[in-house]
Amino acid sequence: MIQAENIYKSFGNLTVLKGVSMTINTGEVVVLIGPSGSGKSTFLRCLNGLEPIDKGRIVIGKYVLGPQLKNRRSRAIDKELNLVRTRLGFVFQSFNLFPHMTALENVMEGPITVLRQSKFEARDKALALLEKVGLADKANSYPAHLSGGQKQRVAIARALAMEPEAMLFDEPTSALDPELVGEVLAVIRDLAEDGMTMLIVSHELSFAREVADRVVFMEDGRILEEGAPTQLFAHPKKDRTRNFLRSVI
Amino acid sequence: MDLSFYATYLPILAKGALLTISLTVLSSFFGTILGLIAALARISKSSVLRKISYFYTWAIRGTPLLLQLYFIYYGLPQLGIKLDAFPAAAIGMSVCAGAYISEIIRAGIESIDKGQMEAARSLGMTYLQAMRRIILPQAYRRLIPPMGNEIIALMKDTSLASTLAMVELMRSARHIDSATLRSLEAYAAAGIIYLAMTTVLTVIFSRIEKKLAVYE
Ligand SMILES: Nc1ncnc2c1ncn2[C@@H]1O[C@H](COP(=O)(O)OP(=O)(O)OP(=O)(O)O)[C@@H](O)[C@H]1O
Ligand SMILES: [Mg+2]
Repeated sequence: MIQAENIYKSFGNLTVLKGVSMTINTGEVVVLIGPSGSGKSTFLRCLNGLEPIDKGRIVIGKYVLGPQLKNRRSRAIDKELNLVRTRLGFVFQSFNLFPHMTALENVMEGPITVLRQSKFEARDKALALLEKVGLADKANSYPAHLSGGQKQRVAIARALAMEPEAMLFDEPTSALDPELVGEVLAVIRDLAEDGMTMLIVSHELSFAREVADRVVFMEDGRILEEGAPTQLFAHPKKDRTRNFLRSVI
Repeated sequence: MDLSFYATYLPILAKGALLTISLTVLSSFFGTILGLIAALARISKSSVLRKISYFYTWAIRGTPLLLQLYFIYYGLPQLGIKLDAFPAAAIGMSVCAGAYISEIIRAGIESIDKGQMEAARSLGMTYLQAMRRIILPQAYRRLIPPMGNEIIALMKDTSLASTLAMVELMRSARHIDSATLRSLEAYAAAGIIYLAMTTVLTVIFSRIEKKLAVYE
């Protein structure tokens, strides 16, 4: 479903990704962990084309992204990139809901503007999605009147409204008060049960143990180690992984 | 002060005020369009567009409006471009307003959190869709107070058009002054009309601001 091959990415003379390869199969849930600054967010942003890559190849279903995006002048490439983005849902640490739209309008926005669905169709689907994330009663609230956990659940519904083939989560709970983390994780857990393909950056290790098929440890722009959560958490092969795991718990 | 004076000369002032209003409306309208284009050019990926936009605001904001009006009205005929006073004034004021408004719009757009553009793009919107649906509607609200100031300044600046033989409000007052030698009454009357018009603008803009505040 998602295949990243030998990805390199620099900002100026800071090389953030130093040859990252990862394959995520359909229906698989992968949790990405690693110290701050190791390049986790950058990797996710490269996957859905928010950042152009310097080297390597990203295959998403039938779409291929390569370094040619660096000088993206051409409309064809821009169009291709937008198609890729509609196939991947992205959930940000800071929610990034549209503040001038209600929860319902936030969820309807993608289908209406990008997929050109009718208002009625988009509304029905958006209401169903808000119901799914437990926020049917907040449909007409503006983001300013929602708690962090509610905002993040709306953001998840907004991404799901595009009917993506996979979801990318960048620390979806780390901007939340501890008592609000659970409600967001519960929604992600439901998605895992539905068989959604997901790549989740998260330091909620007990959550990772529960939902992840595979945990990947990234440090300094490289993948150092990966494996099933039980194996990786209990018997990390590398000292760095062990030190990191100790620091998170 | 003589009140019967006003009965005779008010219609002349009213006619001048009408011209002032039409100049203000026209130059606000076209100035906003120019300003939006210049602002989008200024933040675009194309360095050519960025440079053109930069040059435009630099040249216009760095020279007096009066000079710009003279340039268009008296200077351009030498190049074979001869304009009547009204179009010359309307074009000059629109071009000038556009430069200031582009800075206002650019600051408004740049004040919107970067995450908004990313969220819009991550849904698969094109850059222009994201601008139109997500960024500009949010910037719009923040633009209202500075735009109000700009348009009020513009209305007062239309008095400079009186130097292009345009009989707008300021020039009407001067005509009355020289015909009657009642300087005090003539300029007091014109001043009150300017104040009335700028007050109406102020009220309109604060209404719009309140109306747009619903989602906060
Ligand atoms: N747009 C950018 N311009 C310059 N440097 C950047 C940019 N984005 C990220 N970086 C740098 O790249 C490095 C990796 O950042 P990244 O956000 O990917 O790390 P991370 O693993 O997500 O960390 P965290 O756990 O803190 O979120 C950091 O040193 C960061 O400062
Ligand atoms: Mg990060």
